[in-house]
Amino acid sequence: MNLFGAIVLSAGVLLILAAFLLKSKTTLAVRISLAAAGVLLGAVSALILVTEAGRRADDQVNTLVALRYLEEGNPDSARYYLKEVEHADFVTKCTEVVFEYMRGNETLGQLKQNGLAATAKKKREKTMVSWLSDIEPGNLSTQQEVAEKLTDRGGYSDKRIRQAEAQYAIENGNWDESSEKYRDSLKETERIRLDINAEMNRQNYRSAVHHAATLVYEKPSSDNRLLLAETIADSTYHGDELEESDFVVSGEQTEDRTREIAKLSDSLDAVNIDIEQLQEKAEHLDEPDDAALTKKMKKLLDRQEKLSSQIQYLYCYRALNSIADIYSFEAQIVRARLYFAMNRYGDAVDLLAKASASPVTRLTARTDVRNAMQVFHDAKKEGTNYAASQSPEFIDAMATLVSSAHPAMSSVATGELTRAFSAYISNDMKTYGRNLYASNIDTSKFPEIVVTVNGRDTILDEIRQKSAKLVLKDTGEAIADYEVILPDGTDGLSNICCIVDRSGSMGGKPIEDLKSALDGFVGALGDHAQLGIVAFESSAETVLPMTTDRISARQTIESLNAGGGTDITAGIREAVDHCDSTVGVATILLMTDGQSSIDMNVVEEAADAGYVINTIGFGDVNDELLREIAEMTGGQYIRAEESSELINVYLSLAGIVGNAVQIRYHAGNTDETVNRYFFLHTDDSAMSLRRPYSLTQPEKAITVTNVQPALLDVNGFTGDTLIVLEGDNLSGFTKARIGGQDTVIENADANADRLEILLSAPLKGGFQDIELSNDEGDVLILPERICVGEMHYGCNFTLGALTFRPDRYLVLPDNTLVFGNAVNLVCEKEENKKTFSARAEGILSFAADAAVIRQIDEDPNGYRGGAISCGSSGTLTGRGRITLNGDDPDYDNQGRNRIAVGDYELSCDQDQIRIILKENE
Amino acid sequence: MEKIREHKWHILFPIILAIAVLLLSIPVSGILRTDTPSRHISLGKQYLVDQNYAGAVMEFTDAVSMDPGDRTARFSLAEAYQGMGDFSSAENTLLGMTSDDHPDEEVAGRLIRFYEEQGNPVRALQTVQSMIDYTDGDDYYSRKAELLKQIFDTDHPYSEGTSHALAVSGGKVNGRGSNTLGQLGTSQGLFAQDQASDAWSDAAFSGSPKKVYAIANSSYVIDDTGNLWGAGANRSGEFALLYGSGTAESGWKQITTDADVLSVSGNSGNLYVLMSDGSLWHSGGGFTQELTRVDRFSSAVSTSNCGRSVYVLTENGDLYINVPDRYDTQAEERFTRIASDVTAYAPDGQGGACYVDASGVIRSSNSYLPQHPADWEDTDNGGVRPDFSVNGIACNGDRILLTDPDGSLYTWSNRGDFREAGQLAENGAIYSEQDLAVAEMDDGTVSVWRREASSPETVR
Repeated sequence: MNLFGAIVLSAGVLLILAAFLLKSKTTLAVRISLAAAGVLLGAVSALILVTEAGRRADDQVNTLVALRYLEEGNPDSARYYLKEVEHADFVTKCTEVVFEYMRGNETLGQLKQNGLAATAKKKREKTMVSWLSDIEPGNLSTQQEVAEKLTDRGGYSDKRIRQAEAQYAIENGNWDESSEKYRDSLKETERIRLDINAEMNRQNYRSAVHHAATLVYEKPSSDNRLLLAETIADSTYHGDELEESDFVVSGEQTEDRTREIAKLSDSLDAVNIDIEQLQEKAEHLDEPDDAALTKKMKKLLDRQEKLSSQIQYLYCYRALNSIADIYSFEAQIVRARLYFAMNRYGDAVDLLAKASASPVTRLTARTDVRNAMQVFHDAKKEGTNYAASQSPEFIDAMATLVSSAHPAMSSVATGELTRAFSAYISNDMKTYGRNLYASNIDTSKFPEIVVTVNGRDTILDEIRQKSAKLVLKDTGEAIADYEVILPDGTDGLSNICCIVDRSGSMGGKPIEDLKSALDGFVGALGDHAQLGIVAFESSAETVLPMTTDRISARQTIESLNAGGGTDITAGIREAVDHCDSTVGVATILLMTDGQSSIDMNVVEEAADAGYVINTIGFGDVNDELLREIAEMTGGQYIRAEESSELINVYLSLAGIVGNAVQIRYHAGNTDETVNRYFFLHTDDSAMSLRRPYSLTQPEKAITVTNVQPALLDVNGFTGDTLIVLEGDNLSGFTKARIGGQDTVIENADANADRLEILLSAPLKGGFQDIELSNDEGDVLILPERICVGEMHYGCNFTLGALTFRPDRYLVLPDNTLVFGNAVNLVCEKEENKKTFSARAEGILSFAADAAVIRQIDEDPNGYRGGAISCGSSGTLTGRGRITLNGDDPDYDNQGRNRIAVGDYELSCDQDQIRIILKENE
Repeated sequence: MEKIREHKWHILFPIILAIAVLLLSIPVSGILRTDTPSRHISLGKQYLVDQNYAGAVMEFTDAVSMDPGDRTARFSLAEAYQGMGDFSSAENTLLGMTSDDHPDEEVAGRLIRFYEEQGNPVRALQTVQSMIDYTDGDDYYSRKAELLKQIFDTDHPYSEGTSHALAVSGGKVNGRGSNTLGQLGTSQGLFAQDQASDAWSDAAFSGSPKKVYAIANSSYVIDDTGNLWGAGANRSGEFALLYGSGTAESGWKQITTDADVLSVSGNSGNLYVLMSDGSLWHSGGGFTQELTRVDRFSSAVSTSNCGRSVYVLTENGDLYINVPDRYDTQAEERFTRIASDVTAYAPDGQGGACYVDASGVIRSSNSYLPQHPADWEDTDNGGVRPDFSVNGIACNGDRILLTDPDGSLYTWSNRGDFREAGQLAENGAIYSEQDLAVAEMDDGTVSVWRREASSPETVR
């Protein structure tokens, strides 16, 4: 029973009782008065109860319609009707369980189900709970079956079921005898409202507009005019082109749309001519930055934008005019929806904020709308700090708010415009990317460090002003003294190049969303920004050269079309080339929805040249690739779930990209070389930035891993000898000297991993250096890379546990033995059981004593078959590489098996062979 | 008329009285009836006290739907979800209260505690790191050290190399298989390439072993004080002893490190060592015979290997893979990120990984995921959300092992068969390497699920 009714009834009964009980203490007149007051209150309570009964009937119908939608597997529409139920009875609660399961909220469904099981007392209630237990999460048909059972056997009267069925049928355009009968029972205006709702549900927006126009014709009340405006908003949002005939009711005359558009077009043409003339005038001025001219141009551009919009959204403007005299909260909501339909998203949200902030509107009787207003108000107040803005509950509350002008219209509450508008409000509060980040740290003059910080103006201003609330640290130590400077070469101007994907996959809504996003981005850019646009598909082209001209930018954006493949590399290369040839280094904004392989060298070159590439991806995009591109260049990667978010993504970035300052300071802690970081925190903005860095810069090391031949016979020079150097980063060397002799590099321009040097005269005995130099005069000395001595072939040698067999060896004048070019190294602990088997390439030398030389002199080429012993222990010195042979126990048949490269020693005794790496050149 | 005037108060009184009662009853009924978030919160808190978590969830859900920004309602909702064992919803509720740009300290504190209670120190550590990034606060650095210690406390009781295996059992290290290069730690069968034994034998490790790793032909043990020991192949200088061994040597050699060791990984010729301060170090490869810091990663939480591939998970949740070769001086640069927002991962034996992301979705970098149970949800980019929170994951190429916060172990085979497979030990390890997945069970045994085997081998 209604609480209010119960209180009133109780008061009435009390008064009547008082009239009887106070018989002896008061006069008859007073008692009659008390009794009359009691009767009066009784009558009021009866009225309340009747109303309550009607409301209960409405609740039952709403529950039944919700069930009908659930039977069809449509929880979104069911949700609307469940929310309309004021007092949930047991059937409604069971319906809520089915609804929770159907929308995938199994936990809540299960909880509610358990709650009902605990409270079910009557047999009918227990039966309903048993039906709920048949629901299988994720199995739609079991949920639909339970919805059907609740409808048919839930205990509601046939009358209510018929009523709900008729309402459902009408909403969905399924006319039958019963729904016709129900419709006919309604008043004319109610009937038309029903028709409007039905047409909107079926997405026949033009027809809905026509019905709404009829409704206004029948009864031009505020509510009806707002409903007409609403249908126009929905129709515009869905792109349905309205005609004059849609507004014609009973053949009355309406204003000719063609004539109005022609009038607006004429005005627009006139403005365009004025703009052209002004541009021409500006070109001939000595001082291009004429303030008066700029002001005039801005005025003309605003007018141009307004007229274009009026032509495009003529009926929306008419709708706005037609409700201009209505000041209610509902009217504000409808205006906001009209703005949203006209893509004036910011205006729409601002209007909503204004409406929600008004104390008068807070007096609305609907609790859910009042709550939603408060939620919206709180969220706007806290801005991006309002973390709940992405929650489904927040989006639900916003849907309630933006559809509150027409509570009886299910089509408005569940329509796409409502969903898009509420999602936009949520996305509008979403932070895309970081509002503060470091795009570069220059440590080349360490301990002086220069950090390039990107962020919004508000934050950068704090930095520029060295606000006392800033906290700056380097590797844990506070930075007390620092200097804030403009990034090199920018002169306060920011150059931004947008690389946009216009491949086939961008066709349809994505390209339109991209255009809107870029359009918004252009509008949000500051006066100090130059913009260029590069579009790519299978190839790339600069569609907008770097300019501050916003009109050309907008025209270019409007002309973008989708088609073709996806070549991100081409896009980046074109953007870098264009910027190089025009403005120099720029901030790049790369947007793509596609998967594409990419030549990372292009990204590396861009990073080396100082380009910062921010990447934006949505859809089935390669996240890791885009993240990699951004990180390599100091940018950030922003992921949007769908193309509709691009608008907010670009708007978020508009105030950040290309907006940078540099902080120069001296690091206090100079001991650490790795695991260092720069930290910045702003109290006012509650933003932080922590950027790790290291002082060890990767260098492209020049290495020589092999020299062939390294062993030369002092007696065997027969003419030109080709010396081949293998290694890394050898390109650029143009001259070579070996053993003091100038030589010719045969392939100076060839490649980076091989140099061919022609030796045309014999070298003297001993170790000889190789000296390489380039045209800049840089010299690289490779010490003792060539050995010249008396050559022998085919001996076995032993040193401790190591047996080694060179294919040749030299005896140098100082009795050093040099083994090469390939030497097999073997250690056998037991016969035929090798515990070590490798091959040394390059040169391996041993300082032989007289005993060893004596053995060589006796049998220099090993004809007697025995091994020459170098002793029970000693050290071989090597330069080159040792590679495991296939019969070594640690040979890895999938790997490269090089166990030592560069300079090394082999320390050998009877038990151990140790490979000791030495410092390389 | 005169009479009416005379008795006007008798006529007006009942009307005035009725109106007064009506006016009074409106606010009274309003107060009694008004549905506000605070009413739901108050009722929900009472339910929490009574441990009626289901009732509490319903009340707090109502409060949140009325005021999505109400922090008390959301914190209490998370608590209620946690109370009823729905950890996934509890986590999502808390995550919904914070953002990357403005991490909320209170929320972060609760999340860290939550993850610790769930036995997920990696996730806790990632949250701590986000707060270090935001505040650079000393407290968070201390917290980080504590959490790294917790990660150290997770065992690594079994491991297989190219031709040998190691297991920690009864406070000892046991080995089986080939000992050609001394990888079993003893001199028994040293050099004998054809004498691999299937029987377990004592590896003669004299300390208290905590974790064992068999990598190619090398063996590593981390003892309970965080010291690292090596035995077996050291051809490329991977033991960081300033030399490579041309011959086999028996016995365990200590690998000196600057900090306690959390875990190791590598392949033939390369050793990667993850220290307790999150730094990653490398030795071997034929170009370095001492541990050198891998600058690429300022802080890592996990490293592992599968075949020749080495995996590194950073504190920021980035998962990298590399196949370092012998003499690969550029190996550090070749670490390629294969996934982001990773909280747990398992090498999949195909050069990629299966992993769990921060939103609880299981993904594969190789698009390898078996057919899943019907009540799991398909998500974007081929991910799948199970109907429980996943704490740990392992994979042997044809089967994925999963654990939930309660320590229940599940197997999910390539054929789509999903079932419970016992209970993990408290803080029990679950990991994979080569083509096997390992789980440390609550009965003290270690289950090794090999590829193409229908049931696990019990190795301890």
